[in-house]
Amino acid sequence: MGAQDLLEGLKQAVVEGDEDAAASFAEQAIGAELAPLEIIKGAINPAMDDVGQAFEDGEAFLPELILAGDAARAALDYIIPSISADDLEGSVQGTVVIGTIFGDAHDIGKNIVSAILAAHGIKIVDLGINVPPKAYIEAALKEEADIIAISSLITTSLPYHREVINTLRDRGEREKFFVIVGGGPVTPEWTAEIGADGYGRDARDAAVVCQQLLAGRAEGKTAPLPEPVTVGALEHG
Amino acid sequence: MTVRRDWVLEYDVDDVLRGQAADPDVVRARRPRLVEFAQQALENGRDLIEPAVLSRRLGVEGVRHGRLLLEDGHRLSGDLAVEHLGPAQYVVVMLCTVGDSLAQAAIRESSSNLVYAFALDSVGSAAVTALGAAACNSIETGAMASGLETTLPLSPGMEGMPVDPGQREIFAMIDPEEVGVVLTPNLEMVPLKSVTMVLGVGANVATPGGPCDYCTLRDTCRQRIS
Repeated sequence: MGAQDLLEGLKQAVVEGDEDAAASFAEQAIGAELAPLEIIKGAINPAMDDVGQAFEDGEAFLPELILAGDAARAALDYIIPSISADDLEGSVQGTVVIGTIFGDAHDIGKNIVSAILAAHGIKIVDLGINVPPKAYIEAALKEEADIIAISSLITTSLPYHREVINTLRDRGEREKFFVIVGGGPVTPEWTAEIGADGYGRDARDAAVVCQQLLAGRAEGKTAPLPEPVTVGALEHG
Repeated sequence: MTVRRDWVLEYDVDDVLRGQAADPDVVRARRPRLVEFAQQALENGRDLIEPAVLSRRLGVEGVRHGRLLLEDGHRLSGDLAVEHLGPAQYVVVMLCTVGDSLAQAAIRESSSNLVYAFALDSVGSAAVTALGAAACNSIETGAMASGLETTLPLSPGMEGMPVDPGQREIFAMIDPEEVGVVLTPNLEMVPLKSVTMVLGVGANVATPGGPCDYCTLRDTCRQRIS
């Protein structure tokens, strides 16, 4: 099988959420000595983009997005060990510290966001649920993260979003990390009100927002942004 | 106050898929594996469902300063409660839960098989939705036998019925320990697959519209009924 066929096969396997096929194509591509980063750029990233766009357009459903993420990770398990140290630095787009905010025990949604971000080549540091505001900051400093991602499923936990941002500001470390927020009760208006840098309604949006923020960081932008990056808000009314 | 646990809940694999915001027909045609995951989660999850409904009937005594006054000094705050429950003869306050066993199973699975974990979680959502519907139907049937109507079930978090103080007020009316539910300081119910509802019962009290019309999440929810 030629290089292009392998990449097409891998892309299709990820789109269809077929873990076994994705792993097999990835193994074959590495065996055929395709450059690891080219496999990622030529097959996995476009596959995740296609599924993500279909989800955004209402043509794919969340479990399909998760299936694709699982298939992408299965392929990456074969590809990443073949990446050299120099290449690896370029392959990791950034680091996101993520957790469900204090007072909120919802786990699944945050795990889905983590899986989708990981499938986009973003390093994830998952702090779990019921995360105190200061724990996000300590982890972000320790991991030299680019983004702090806060998940919320209940309205009563929203005030702790503001506490994360205010604590960063009080400690003089606000410019070090972009802060994004998302989950059922979170709105773009709330995001702007608390001075966060990004809003994502769901896992796909979170991936898009993170990619935009990381691209902005590469261009020299620092937090806080004058206007948050918002993706996926439904029209009100 | 009564606790009832002998519920026969009606939900199927399509409800589990809908709980994942997916269209069952499309998924069945396009990604049969997801149907298999949902089916497997349903089969394994059913035994972990521990349905219980704690309910209490309280007479409506009036409305004062934007609050619904109930017997025994209880009250419910918010325009929604005042408007819809004010004309009722009595309200039935309910706490419905399917327990914590299923949620714990979903958490255990999420690190190794997220698709299945999500399906298990959605079994819990489908079950607690079915439980709430069954509990409301039970109240409605009783009301109709007496020639009365019921309102839409109201829950804290709906537009005009803030979680705070709504959830605190409801928990003050009942003994949640009887069904193993705890309200955290952040007003989160644990087990998570639990809901509180208040139903008004009386003459000519039927509520216009559907639940989404009164939901504060309608601007961000993908599952809203448009």
